[in-house]
Amino acid sequence: MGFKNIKRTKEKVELISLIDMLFILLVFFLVTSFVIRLPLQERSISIPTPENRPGRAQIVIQLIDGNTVFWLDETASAEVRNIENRMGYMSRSRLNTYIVGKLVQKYTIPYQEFTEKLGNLVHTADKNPDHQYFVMIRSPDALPYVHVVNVISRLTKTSYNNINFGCVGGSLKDIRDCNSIRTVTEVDSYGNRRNNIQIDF
Amino acid sequence: MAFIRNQEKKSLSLPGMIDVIFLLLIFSLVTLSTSESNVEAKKRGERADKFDLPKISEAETFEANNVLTTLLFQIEYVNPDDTTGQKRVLVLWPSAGDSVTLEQARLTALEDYNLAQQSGSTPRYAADVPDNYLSLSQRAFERTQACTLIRQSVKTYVEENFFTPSLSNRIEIRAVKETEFRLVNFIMVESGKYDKLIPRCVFRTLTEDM
Repeated sequence: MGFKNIKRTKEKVELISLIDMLFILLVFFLVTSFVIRLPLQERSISIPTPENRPGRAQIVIQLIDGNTVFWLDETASAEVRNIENRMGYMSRSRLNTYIVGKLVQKYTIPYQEFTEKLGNLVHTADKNPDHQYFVMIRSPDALPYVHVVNVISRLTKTSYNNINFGCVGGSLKDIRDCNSIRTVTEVDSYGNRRNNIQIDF
Repeated sequence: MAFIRNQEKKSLSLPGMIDVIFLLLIFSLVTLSTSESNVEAKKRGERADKFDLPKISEAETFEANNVLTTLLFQIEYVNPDDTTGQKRVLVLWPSAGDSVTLEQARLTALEDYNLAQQSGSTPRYAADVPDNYLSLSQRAFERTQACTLIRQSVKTYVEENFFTPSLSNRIEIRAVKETEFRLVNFIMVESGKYDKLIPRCVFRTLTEDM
């Protein structure tokens, strides 16, 4: 008995359907990427009111303009102590000017580097939840306050809310014209002796 | 001679039909969600689009209520189309018994401002910020009408509402993003004078919907 010879047609992918499907996928991704952009909503961000007494901070962020920032942290203490030791023969006022000049030269950074430093600070704070960090933000009068809000918005991004911050008005000129800038040796809460910078305005 | 009609049976192509159905489905889903989000935006009063607040993408923020719950200072342009022009401070007071929305309080402040301009008196809820206020000395700046209004408003509000220190005591600031820090800082410093009675100020910002 002869068997029927079944003709097997070669199955091809239909080009038109394929193009249709590709278009559908394209439209779908375009539309979802558009829709997924969440609308901006008015929300609130909280900032502590300034206190009328001398402040302490581990990091001082002096906003200069929209592009540069003067970032003073504990690494500056060693720098100041070093200058004090080397230039101790100078009068106090000249020494102040010299110290501020050196600090401004070394610790004024562009905004991009500043955002990186802020990111590193948040990262460090997240890795050390038992530590408290205090940042003082100083802004000149003429600078739009949006810059301050931007800095604060980054500082509040910590997981443990262990970065405290304060916000005051002040310019780099005020630091240049300060009455004195010097290192003082203090004992921190862990019993360690530390050299801190004291600025009297 | 007889002709044979070569009639092919026309049938609907199934893949094509599925394509069309999918397209219709996606279209209807997307238009539905877009129209719903627009309705929600309109319900919120579309404040965000009209007022140029600072936009932030990463922060711990909390919901900004459209109904006033505390004293709010609004700093806006006198002419909204001129973003380099003069600014004014509006003092928006919440109502103890009734719920006043931000827009209602703003209208009240503006009415007071317009009436005062017509009668030549001093407005109680609004004041223009002088164009040259950045060049004024601190003493002269603090004597401007805007600063006097801010100082008086904070004082009155604290005396009437904040009797004991509490973390919930706050003053709100809603200012166009180009507002110079001097003005904003003045509000913060005035609030800070009451120490623990006003432990914080709250800034209104634009943040992605969460």
